[in-house]
Amino acid sequence: MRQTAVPHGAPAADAPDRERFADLMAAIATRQDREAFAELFAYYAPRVKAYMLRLGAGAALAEELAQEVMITVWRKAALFDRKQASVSTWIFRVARNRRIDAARRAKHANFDQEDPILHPEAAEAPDDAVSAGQRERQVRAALTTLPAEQVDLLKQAFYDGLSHRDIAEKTGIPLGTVKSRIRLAFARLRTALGPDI
Amino acid sequence: MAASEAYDALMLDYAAGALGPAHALLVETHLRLKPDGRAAAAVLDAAGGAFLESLPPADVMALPLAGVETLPGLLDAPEPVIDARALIEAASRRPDDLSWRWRAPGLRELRLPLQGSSLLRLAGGRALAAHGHSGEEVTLVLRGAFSDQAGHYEVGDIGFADEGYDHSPLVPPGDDCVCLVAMTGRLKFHGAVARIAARLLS
Repeated sequence: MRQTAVPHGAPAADAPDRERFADLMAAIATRQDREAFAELFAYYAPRVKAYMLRLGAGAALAEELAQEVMITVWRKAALFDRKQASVSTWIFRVARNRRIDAARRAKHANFDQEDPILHPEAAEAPDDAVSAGQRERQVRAALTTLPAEQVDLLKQAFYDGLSHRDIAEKTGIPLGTVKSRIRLAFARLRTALGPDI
Repeated sequence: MAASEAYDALMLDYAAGALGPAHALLVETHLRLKPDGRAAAAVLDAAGGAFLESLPPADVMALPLAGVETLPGLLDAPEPVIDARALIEAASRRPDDLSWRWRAPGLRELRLPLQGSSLLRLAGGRALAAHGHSGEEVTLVLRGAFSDQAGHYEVGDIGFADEGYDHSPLVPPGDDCVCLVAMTGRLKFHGAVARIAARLLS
C-alpha cells in the first residue's frame, strides 16, 4: 500500500497557514507578542515533543526538550527569516540541533578552552537563490510523488533519527540499496532547487 | 555514482540528526564553505519541516508565559563547542598556530576533542603512503587540494573512503593540504614505512 508523508491534494485539516505562522514569528520578534507565541506553542510544542519521543527520548526528557525548543523560538524569533525557511522548517532545524548539541557537549569533558578552534558561534543562514516559499511548496509536492519505499526511508531518517546504516541494519535492506533509494529520493527533492542548480 | 550516493546519504544523515559529533562538525564546516551544499541542506530541512508537521501531536504541559522573557541564559550554550567557522579560520588561514604532531612522512595530525575527528596536514608535493580503511573515512578539504584514484578535491569538497578502499592521496606541489577527517575505523597502511606510521597512529 502506498504511504505518503504529506497528504495528497488538499492540505490536511491541521496543516499550518505558513504565512500566518511567519507573521506570528515577526510579532514575537518585534513586540514580544505572547498571544502569537501561544498560538505557535499550541501547534508546535506537541509535535516537537512527539519528534523527541520518536527519537528515543523518555517522556520527561522529550517534554523538557520540547519546552527548550519553544523557549528558543521565543528568544530567537528575530533570527527567523521568512525568506529562508518556513516556520516548520526552522523549528525542525532548532529541534534537531538541540540533539546534536547535547551529544556534542557530552563528549568534551576536559579540553583547552583557550584553543582557537573552540568558539561557539551562531549558525549561518543558507543563501541560496530559491525563495523559501517556492522550496517548501516544491519539496512537499515532490514528497507526494515519491514511491512508498523512499517515503518509508525518509520517515525512518526524520522520525526515528536513524542513519542510513542504521536503516540498512534494522530493515535488512542492503546498504547499497538504501543509498540508491536515498539518491533517488534526493534527486526528486532537488527539483525544488530549480533547473539552474 | 558511488561518491554522490555517499554524499546524499551523509547529507540525509545530517538533516535527520543521525550523525555523530565528528561527522556533524564536518558537514557543518562543508556547509560554510559550499553554497551548493547549503541549498541541498535547505531542501532536506524543508522535508524535515514537512515531516514535523505531519507528526501526531503529543500531550505537552503549557509553558508558563509569565516570566518567559526573563528566563536565565538557559540556551546560550556557555560551554565551548567546536565551531565550524573558527575551525575554518584556524585550520585554513593560520595552520602554523596549531599544535600538529608528526604522524608519518609528509603527514601531521591534530586530534580534535571529538571521537574519530582529526585535522590532517599533508605537505605540498607529497604523496601519503597507500592505505586502506577498517571503517569509513570522510574527508573535507579546508586548505589546498589533494587528488587520489577517485578524483581531485579542493576546498569545501568531501571525499569518501569506504572499508576496503585503498588510496594514496597526492598533494600538488606548493601549499600544504589541511583536511578535516571524520573516521569510524582505523587507517591500514601498506608497506614497511607505512606499517611504522600505522603503529604511530594507533
